[in-house]
Amino acid sequence: MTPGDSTGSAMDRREFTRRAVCAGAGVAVASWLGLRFHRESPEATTGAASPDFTFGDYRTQGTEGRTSVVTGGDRAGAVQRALELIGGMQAFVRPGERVLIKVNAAFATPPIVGATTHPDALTAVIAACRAAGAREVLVTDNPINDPAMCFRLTGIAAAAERAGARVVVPATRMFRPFTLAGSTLLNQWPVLAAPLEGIDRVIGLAPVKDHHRSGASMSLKNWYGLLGGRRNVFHQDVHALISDLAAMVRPTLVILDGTETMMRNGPTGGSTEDLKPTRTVVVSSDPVAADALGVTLLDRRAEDLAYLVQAAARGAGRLDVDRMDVKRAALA
Amino acid sequence: MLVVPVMVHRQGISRGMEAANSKTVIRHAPTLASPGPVERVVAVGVLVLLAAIAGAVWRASFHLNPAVELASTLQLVPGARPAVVEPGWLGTVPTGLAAMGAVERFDSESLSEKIDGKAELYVEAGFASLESRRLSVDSNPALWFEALLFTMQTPRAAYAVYSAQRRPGAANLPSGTGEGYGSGNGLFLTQGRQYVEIIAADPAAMTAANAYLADLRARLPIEAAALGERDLFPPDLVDASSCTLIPENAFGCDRLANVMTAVMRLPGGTCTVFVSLRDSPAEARELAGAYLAFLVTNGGQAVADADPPQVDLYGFRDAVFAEGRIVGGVHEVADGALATDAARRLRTYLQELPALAAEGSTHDAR
Repeated sequence: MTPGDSTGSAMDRREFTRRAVCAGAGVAVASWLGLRFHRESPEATTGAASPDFTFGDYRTQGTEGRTSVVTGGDRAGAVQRALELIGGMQAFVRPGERVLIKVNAAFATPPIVGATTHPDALTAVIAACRAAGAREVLVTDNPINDPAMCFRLTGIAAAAERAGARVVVPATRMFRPFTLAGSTLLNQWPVLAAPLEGIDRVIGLAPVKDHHRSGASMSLKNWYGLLGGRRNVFHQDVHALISDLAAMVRPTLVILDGTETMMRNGPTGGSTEDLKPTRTVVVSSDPVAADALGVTLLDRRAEDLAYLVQAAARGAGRLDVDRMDVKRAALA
Repeated sequence: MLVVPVMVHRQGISRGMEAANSKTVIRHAPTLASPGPVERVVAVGVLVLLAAIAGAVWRASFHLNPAVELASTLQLVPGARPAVVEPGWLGTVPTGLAAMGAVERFDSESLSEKIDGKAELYVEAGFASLESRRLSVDSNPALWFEALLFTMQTPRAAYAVYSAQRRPGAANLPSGTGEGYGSGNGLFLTQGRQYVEIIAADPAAMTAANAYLADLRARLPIEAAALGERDLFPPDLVDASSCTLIPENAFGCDRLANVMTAVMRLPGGTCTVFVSLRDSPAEARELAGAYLAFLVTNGGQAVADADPPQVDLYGFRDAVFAEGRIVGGVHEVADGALATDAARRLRTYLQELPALAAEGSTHDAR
């Protein structure tokens, strides 16, 4: 038999075909493995395939634009009075509803530093929710530092539990992808979804702080703690991001605790000398208006905050607080 | 994939073996047979497919989808502590204190996971690493503090981040190595390339915090920072503790780097003055002119007959001049008379400095 003999070629062709099929199968498997690692969605890290999350509308009908400012007194007293001025918590929370309080527990720092929600303010808000008949009150945040340490060292966990609320410490399985229509930043981005499931009302509770990147950290910046992933990618577009957050969340209420305002070196602060005793609490169903009022505690104007101007321009709230019916009171 | 080349090679050997077994075998060493046309086409097709897959993967590697996290790097729940490679400066736990956890270490990539948006302040100044650790008083765990030790790339970089965050009016630390100050609940120190913050949860923990810092201070390297610009301000008008070093992008101008600012107190009020030491008088003149032009480009109006030259930017004055190798001036002063007074006093002081007088140049930016 010589090369080229027809009988030998047929056998060679069969062998060739067999081997070609094996090679093709190998290529197909390699391709599948490559595509498996190159998914566009965060399924690989959120566990089983997660449908996109949608934020609810947590606003209470008939409470649009209700805003109050209280000066003086102690923190808890100011929060209570500010709520009373706009109808009390019962105007916003119905009996039997489940409430989520989104605190700022970003850093594992003590309350004295003023970088996180103060436990006394949280206690007052939880008490108001329970008095209004809330069936359950949850407290959550996705901190910058270790979550468990943050909730513990800030005093938030202890205050929440004493007041009868439940702290939800974020875990990987609690995140789901979210897309904000028209946003170039929040596209299939993981958000802290699980604590929001079954929730009727959302209340933001944040301190008033200087911020090195955005100029200020108040109620709109507080929603940053609902995002997962490597959020530092947003630092270069922080104003656009915060404007997106304003469109993402339609809360029941936001409460700005300006009892002590972090005037410099934010968002972490560190020294009590960064704090100014501004003794002011702002409560509003309009987060943009709340921030427009809160920024004055930093000796700045709303127009100085690009994210605030952007948020107002896209209809997330009002900047013209001078034309709003803001209820005011001064405590001794 | 080496299947295709192997297939061709084996086929060639197979044909050679068949030739050796035939009755009319020609005894010669086996040679590789040339593949047939179909085989060539299939082989080329497979190679093209492999190349296309490789190209697609390579192209996709440039596409950053920030929502996609690889299992090896993702932190959907940020704050997971990075592995500690070595104890570093904070590995020692003095007697009387208890560690509340291990030393945490952060680099420029992970720094924002500790201090969020403030990370840029350090990174832009020349950041190297951060160690942090919480400690409590043995006898009273409620009294705790956190030590943050930033290692910068140079002593000037450490001074830059220290001075940028200095709390006005805070009391200086006792004299010793480095320089620092204390507040009601915090201690802040710059020494060599290190910038240290010790933040107490309660002022009652400050005794322990002070002792901890003293121990740290004794162990940290001593490396002098060249901060000669601080001597360019008139000492009777400027408090050295108000000096702040801006490494780059001073006042929003990307050409203004290595600028030292200070607060000058005058009868007419207080204002920010600045100096920047350049390599030559010519460079100083050019830079002063460039900064004035920058202000005008950004909406400022040159103030007529101002000496030194001034620009009014939306009601705030900047005065700028060059004196020898120094660019100096005042920044964002609402009162024009105060701006002029401060700028003239600063320039006069610089003119009278022996070193600058020897250089002989008195041209300003005009």
